[in-house]
Amino acid sequence: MTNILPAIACNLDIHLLQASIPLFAEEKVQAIEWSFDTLFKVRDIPGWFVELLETFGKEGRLVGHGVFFSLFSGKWSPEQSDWLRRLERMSKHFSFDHVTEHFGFMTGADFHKGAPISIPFNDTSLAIGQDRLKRIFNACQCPVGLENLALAYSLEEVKRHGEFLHRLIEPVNGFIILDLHNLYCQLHNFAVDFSEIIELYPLDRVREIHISGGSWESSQISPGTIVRRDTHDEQVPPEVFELLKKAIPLCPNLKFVVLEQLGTALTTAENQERFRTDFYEMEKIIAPFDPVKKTMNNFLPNDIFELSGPLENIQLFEQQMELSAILENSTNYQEVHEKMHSSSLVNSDWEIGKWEPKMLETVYRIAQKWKSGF
Amino acid sequence: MKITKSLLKAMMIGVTLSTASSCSGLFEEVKSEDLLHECDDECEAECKEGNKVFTDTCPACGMG
Repeated sequence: MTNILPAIACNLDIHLLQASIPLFAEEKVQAIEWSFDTLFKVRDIPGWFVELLETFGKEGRLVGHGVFFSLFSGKWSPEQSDWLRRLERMSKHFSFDHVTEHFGFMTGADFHKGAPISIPFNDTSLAIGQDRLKRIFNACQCPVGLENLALAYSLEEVKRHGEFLHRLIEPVNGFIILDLHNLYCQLHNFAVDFSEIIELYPLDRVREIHISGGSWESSQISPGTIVRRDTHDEQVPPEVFELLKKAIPLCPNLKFVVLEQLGTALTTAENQERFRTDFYEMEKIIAPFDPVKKTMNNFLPNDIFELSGPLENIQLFEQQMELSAILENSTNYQEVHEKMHSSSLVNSDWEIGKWEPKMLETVYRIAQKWKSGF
Repeated sequence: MKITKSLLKAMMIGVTLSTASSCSGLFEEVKSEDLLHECDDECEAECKEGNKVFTDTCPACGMG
């Protein structure tokens, strides 16, 4: 049996590392999650950071967390090929225990611009997602997982998310990251109970849980309404710790619980102290549940996949491009709404008629925030 | 998990100085376009001078 390992999302960020070093010194950090594709801004990687990754990798305590692959892009891109090549190289060097990516497609035309947003839960998206996960497995040759998305357009979509994730990971015998703050966003934004949604997830497929903080944003089109956003820039709220207590016993194959916070929110000594306080609280919650009785799933497929050219769907790609252009180029919500309802997305599987206005407003704000890159 | 004192010390120094003074061969061979480095000349100067401050931001969870 393996204990559940308290972990941190550990990237090459000076403030995040400042906050984390005392935890490393106290031998509290049992695993680290590294977003291996976020180093595009850094020319030289310090040797000590590589050694840190190697140290955890050798112990089976390093997990890779991709950000930019854009799993559901309808058209295959050269950047996706490059991403897989880099993943293959990184995997040979660092011994990832598993590798994960995010749900959705990136809105931006450039590989490091835009934000991931959701897609129709139809057979086309399913086939493309399954194809991409197989390619990720072939590159890393370790268990592959997908994280639940915080953003949803409707309550119906929230309710279908877990089942769709399950269908996506089945061919690679993959797993799910259950991000509890993402779920918390959905519970608030769609006024639904945890117990109602959690049972719709394949909980025996949860190998990793994320917790983090976020922020509230007032809706301008629905005065008095606030939207919860997964901005990773605040402490973990007490409600998310409560969700963690409820979720752990439901997930028999849970191996890692990861605390995520952006370095941009850890610039002061006070914020760094609060980050460590969150870690200690997370550790305290996890401890009574160790060890967990595991099932026999190793989360590996039987063999490497033999694949021909990447699956594409040009109609989906054109719809994604059209949606991205509307979200990034409009100057206000009203313009977004008008353009959406005179676009090719009308009467399509995107079902834009069911999108809650406050969520359309939110996805517009997110696209605007990230369109210039990171 | 225990990490060596020398690694911990290197991390402390590296973080304190915010410098990329020691490069990994792994990344050296794939740097530049392979890492999608997009910094301008000013950034390159910072790297050479050892004044690079690492920061990251992330939109990844879809509500960021």
